[in-house]
Amino acid sequence: MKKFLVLLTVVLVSVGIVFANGAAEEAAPLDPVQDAINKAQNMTLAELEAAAKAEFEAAGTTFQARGVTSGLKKVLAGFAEKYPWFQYEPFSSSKDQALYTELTTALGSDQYVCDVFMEQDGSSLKAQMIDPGYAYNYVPKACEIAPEDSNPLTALYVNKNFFWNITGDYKMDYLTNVWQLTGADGVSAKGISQLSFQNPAKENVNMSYLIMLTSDAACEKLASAYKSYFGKDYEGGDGYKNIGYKFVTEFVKNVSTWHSSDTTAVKTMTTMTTGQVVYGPLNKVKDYPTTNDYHKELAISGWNTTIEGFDSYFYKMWLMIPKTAKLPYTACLFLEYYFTPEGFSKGWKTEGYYSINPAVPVAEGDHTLSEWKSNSLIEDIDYIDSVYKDAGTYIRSLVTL
Amino acid sequence: MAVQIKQINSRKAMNNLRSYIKKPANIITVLFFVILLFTVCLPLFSLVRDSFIVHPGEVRDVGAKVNSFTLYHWKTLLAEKLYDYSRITFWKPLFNSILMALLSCIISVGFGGVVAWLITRSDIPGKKFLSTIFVFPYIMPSWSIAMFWENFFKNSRIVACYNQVGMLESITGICVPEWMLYGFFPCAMCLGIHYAPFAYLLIGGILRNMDANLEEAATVLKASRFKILRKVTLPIVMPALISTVLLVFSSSLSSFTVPSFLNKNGSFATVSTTMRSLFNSSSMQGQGFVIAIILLVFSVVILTINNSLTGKRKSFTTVSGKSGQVSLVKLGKARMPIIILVMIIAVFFAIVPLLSFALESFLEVPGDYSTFTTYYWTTKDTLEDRVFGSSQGILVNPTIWKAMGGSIILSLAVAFISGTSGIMIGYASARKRGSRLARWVSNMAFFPYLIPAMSFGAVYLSVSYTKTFSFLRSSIWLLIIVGGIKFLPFASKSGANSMMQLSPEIEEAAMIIDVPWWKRMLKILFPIQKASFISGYLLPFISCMRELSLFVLIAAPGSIITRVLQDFDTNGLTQVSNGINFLIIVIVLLVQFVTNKLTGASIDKGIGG
Amino acid sequence: MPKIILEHVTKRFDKFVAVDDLNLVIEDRDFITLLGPSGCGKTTTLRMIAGLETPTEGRITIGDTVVFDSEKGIDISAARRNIGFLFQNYALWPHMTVYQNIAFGLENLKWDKARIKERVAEMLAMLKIEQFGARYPSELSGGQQQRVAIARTLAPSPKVLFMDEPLSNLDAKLRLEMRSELKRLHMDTDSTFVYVTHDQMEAMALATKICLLDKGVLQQYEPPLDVYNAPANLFVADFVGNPTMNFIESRFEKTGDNEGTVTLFGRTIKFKSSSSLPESMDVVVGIRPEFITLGKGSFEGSVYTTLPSGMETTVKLMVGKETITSVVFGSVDYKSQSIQKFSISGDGILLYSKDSGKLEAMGSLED
Repeated sequence: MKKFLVLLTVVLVSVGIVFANGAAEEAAPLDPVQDAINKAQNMTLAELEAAAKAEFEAAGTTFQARGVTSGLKKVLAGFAEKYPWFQYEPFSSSKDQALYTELTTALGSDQYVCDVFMEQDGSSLKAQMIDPGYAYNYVPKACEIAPEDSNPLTALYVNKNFFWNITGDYKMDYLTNVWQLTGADGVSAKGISQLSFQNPAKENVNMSYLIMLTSDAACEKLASAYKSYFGKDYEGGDGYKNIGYKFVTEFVKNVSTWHSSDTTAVKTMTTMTTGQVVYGPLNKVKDYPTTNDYHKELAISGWNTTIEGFDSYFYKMWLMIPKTAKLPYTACLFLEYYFTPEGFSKGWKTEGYYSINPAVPVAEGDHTLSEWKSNSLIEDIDYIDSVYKDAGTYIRSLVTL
Repeated sequence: MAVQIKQINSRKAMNNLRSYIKKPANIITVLFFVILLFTVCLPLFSLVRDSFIVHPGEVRDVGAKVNSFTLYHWKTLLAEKLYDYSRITFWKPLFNSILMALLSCIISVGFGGVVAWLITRSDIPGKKFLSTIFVFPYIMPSWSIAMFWENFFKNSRIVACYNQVGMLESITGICVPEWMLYGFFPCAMCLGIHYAPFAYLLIGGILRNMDANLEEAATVLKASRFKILRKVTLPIVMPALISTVLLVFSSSLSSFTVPSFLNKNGSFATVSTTMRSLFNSSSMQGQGFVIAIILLVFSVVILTINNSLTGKRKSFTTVSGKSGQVSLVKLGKARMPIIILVMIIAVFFAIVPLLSFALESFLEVPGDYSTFTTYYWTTKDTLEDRVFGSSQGILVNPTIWKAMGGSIILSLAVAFISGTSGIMIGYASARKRGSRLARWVSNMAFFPYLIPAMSFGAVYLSVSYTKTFSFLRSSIWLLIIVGGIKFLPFASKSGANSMMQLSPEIEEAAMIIDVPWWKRMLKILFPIQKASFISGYLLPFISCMRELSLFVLIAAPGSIITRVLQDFDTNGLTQVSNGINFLIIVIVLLVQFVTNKLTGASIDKGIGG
Repeated sequence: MPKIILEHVTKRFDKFVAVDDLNLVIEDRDFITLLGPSGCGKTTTLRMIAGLETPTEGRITIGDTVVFDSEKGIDISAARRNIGFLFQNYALWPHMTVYQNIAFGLENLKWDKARIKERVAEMLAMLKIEQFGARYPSELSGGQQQRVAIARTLAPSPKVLFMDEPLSNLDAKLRLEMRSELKRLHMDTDSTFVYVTHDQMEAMALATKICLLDKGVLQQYEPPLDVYNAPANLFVADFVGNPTMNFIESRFEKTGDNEGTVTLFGRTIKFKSSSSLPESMDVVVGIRPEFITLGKGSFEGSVYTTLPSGMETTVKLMVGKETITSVVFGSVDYKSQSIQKFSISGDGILLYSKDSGKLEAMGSLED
């Protein structure tokens, strides 16, 4: 046994090292997908429709989309309705990292995996898809797209807010300033010690939220809220890199419940009448028990009440075309359809999902994206990428993994 | 002259080779050596490799090209001082995990051992019922016990559970402190309870086979009950005890679901949850692989210690005594209190979690019993049109039943492969006891147990993305292969156990009258050890039915039930996912029950031998 | 001192009756063998006396103490019955050395170390296994393990010693050797021995009294020669003796107080006894092979087989349809199919009732 193990270890390690170096060299392949996307970028819709149809019929294969949100299933169905020649693999949503693993595995060995994919968590997208050159970007002409949303192409804005139950002793005015969430008492309100948050080490979107809190834009909001809460300016000198780090540290340390599922947390809110504040996606109100009415029972920051500092955090989902796509024209056409009000509305109708196309109506009672943006933090892929190693390590040191 | 000698030598070699391949045990050994070299060493090799290379997401942090060699992961995880990273991310969780694993060993061995002793050596009533339900917690997924633990102990004084009132408080008004609900203690308890049946099966197996005369001899020589236990029984069951400890320890060490579920107050980090979160990160997967290797090394070290401890001199061969003549210890007055206590505990952790599971699927609001509804079981409405396939109520949902069928077929195939391979490997290692190759094969067959399911799946995902094996992609065959290998360890252990009990004469008697090998296996060896062999099939079946992390990357949507379950869960239909869970457990229990009734096999025979 | 009394002892396993209403008195310093075919209840009886098995009913007394009484609810554990027990498979503890195995019982008696050491050395010497003290049981041969087991059992000098087929796992030569050593041991140790065996030769050779059981029922309890010469019933007659007794079905007609006739091989022959005879009845005549003398006589049979074993020769003859076994001293080879004359001699000819199987008369045949 012992000898065997020693032998095995030696063999494995040495082979590992040899392979590790051997596999490093990769030949740059000829790239028809990039070429097709470039061409599509300059086509009219009619031309693209023709090119896609020709491509689809020539390929004799079905279209495959992968993604982390199940709304895509319905957009695909709408697309197939509009273009009868279009056929696709049944869609099933994946978890974000499972999908990244599958994508990098396939694309790393130049294998086909799908024709278009929708992913979240900018840090992962940048590091695992964009930097290695595994995915290409296409900018649809269906609507005006702002530069910050165009590359990579932002397909969906999703916001996470603070929820609390107002059927008990705690009312709308329970939470009025984000600094309450650090647990410290201010001059205008009391600190809150019951905070439910999903572990950023398991939920990457929450990691990006915490990292975005350290950005300049967030610091500005935090500083003004600080002043109104404590009645004085934040002066630093307490060892934090900036007020964002201070907030992140105290916020994380103030978390009393690390929930493992936003859905369950929001569902359970029906019974949380003793002052719990849950951080979760606004769209989870759709999972609120049908026996109850969230319109009457819940306060949701930014939705029916507003808090100083910020109401919500917007994370994004991006649509990209993998470099091994078989149907790049069809993928581009699909993106064009996706950004039309018709396409987007197929997938998402409820609160908490927003298209960058202002022509897409929001759910009844919800605010428009631009209204939301004024008092929200927004995921910035480049900022997160630039500070990820340091800020990520720092945040990981604050939580149990 | 020299040429002649050479010719003779080569002829000799040829003859040796010919007589070597004439024995089926040799062919099996070589065949499985080759198969396992690829199927087991490949993931192992890949695991090691992954801890030394730059993955796509890590380029930015490591500052090197994808797939190039680096020591970054090892250095960062083990020795990064910035923000106290290594201590917080690795050393502290490792320490926590070891403590937790140790306590869960004590609990499982203590509890399982006591029950094993009660059932085999005392006059406790209701043995059959007790031994049936006592194995439930092992058949159920470990997190179902954790979930039940939380539902039972949560109370209005604990903030981390949203001050919700659990069963204990609503019945008795007792509020347990937070350390009993979340963190180290409950994690160790739940794992201990989950693995107690395992200890019971292993220790009970030895006790059953152990010659009762050994204890009687001590009784006659006036040793007290306690002294007999300490000086005779314990030392003799020590090998079983040690292998229980070994298996429970390494299983607990790598258990992910329980510590991740019972850590709502964020007080308790374990090395396995750390590993999972590193795998889940965009740029730290390499470090996850480092932890996987460290966990593996841990287990291997314990394995080696175990092998060297159960030395040859004291040879613990268990000669069966006269059956039916075991003198049972009379518990006397303690009999009723003991049985009541044991029954309560067993029922508490076997039946109640199952029921509470079922109940959750009938509640509109989790935990609120006033919102009881059968809607999620029976409705023909579309519950949520974004899930894959149909989303009607569980009982009328074609997607669920198709996936259930898929899972059953998969599990049957996996059970067939790993069970049969297990018997073959058991046969080879029993017939070729002492041969180095045979020992290697049986050691290799144990390795899949030590490789984390997720990374095992990931390796085969990448295999399916190579040109040669692309035909395996998203196919059921890939799942069957992966499952067949991953669940091989216990099957091969049970195969070896049952083969060791068969004396070679039984087979030799058939060899003399020229019965071919396959016929000997099928017509002689299999019928004799039928119960034990079938048990070797049962365990992989059970494990495979409830497995997700192994298959999550490689299973096509809707192909297996756990994948469908996850889909419902992420789309907010927790009632449906709880209901499916309940169904899975019921099916597993049913299969175990029916198999037991039809063939006498049960998982206890598989493990205990 | 220790006299063992069993009164109405019964043991049932579910519906199966292992021992049925057994009454037995074992006198002090007896060497009793419990004899019978497998499954007759002999091991169960032994284990019940030792306290390893609980009787369903009855009363067991060892010496002055009632160790078991189902009515009074007395059940003294094996540990407190002051007995020794030698197991069939020795039951040596594999994880202890020979020395530790032997010393174990003495430690339980709280002997001091020096005394234990002395006693163990004594036992090792007595059983001639001095050189194995430090070995583990798995490193010993069967015979050596047997000696260790005996040493372990005898070390605390038990007054009653129970042995459950202790020689059955040994080869023939070793068995004979150990047999004589056991008998010697019985004389040296002054203890009462109760010994289970299915080997009637062993029982005959060792015992002061044989207790023969069948299907849980006591058949005969007498000294070995009495059992051999006058088996109480057909079962005992058939079980004891090798080669087995000849049984011939016949009719007994009483003619006088001590006289009668039996029909054998188609002839009517006079039967004489020293004691009074029963009424006329259907009988089975039992004739030990050594009472059939070949060479001369009024009977004739053809030789079926001859089995010489050196010291004696077993000859089977066909007389009409009956097969008759005879034992001849020395090595003689009779030709197969040859016709031989024979006579029936001796005063140990037995008459068993055909109906009850019980011994009815013993006497001699007169042509």
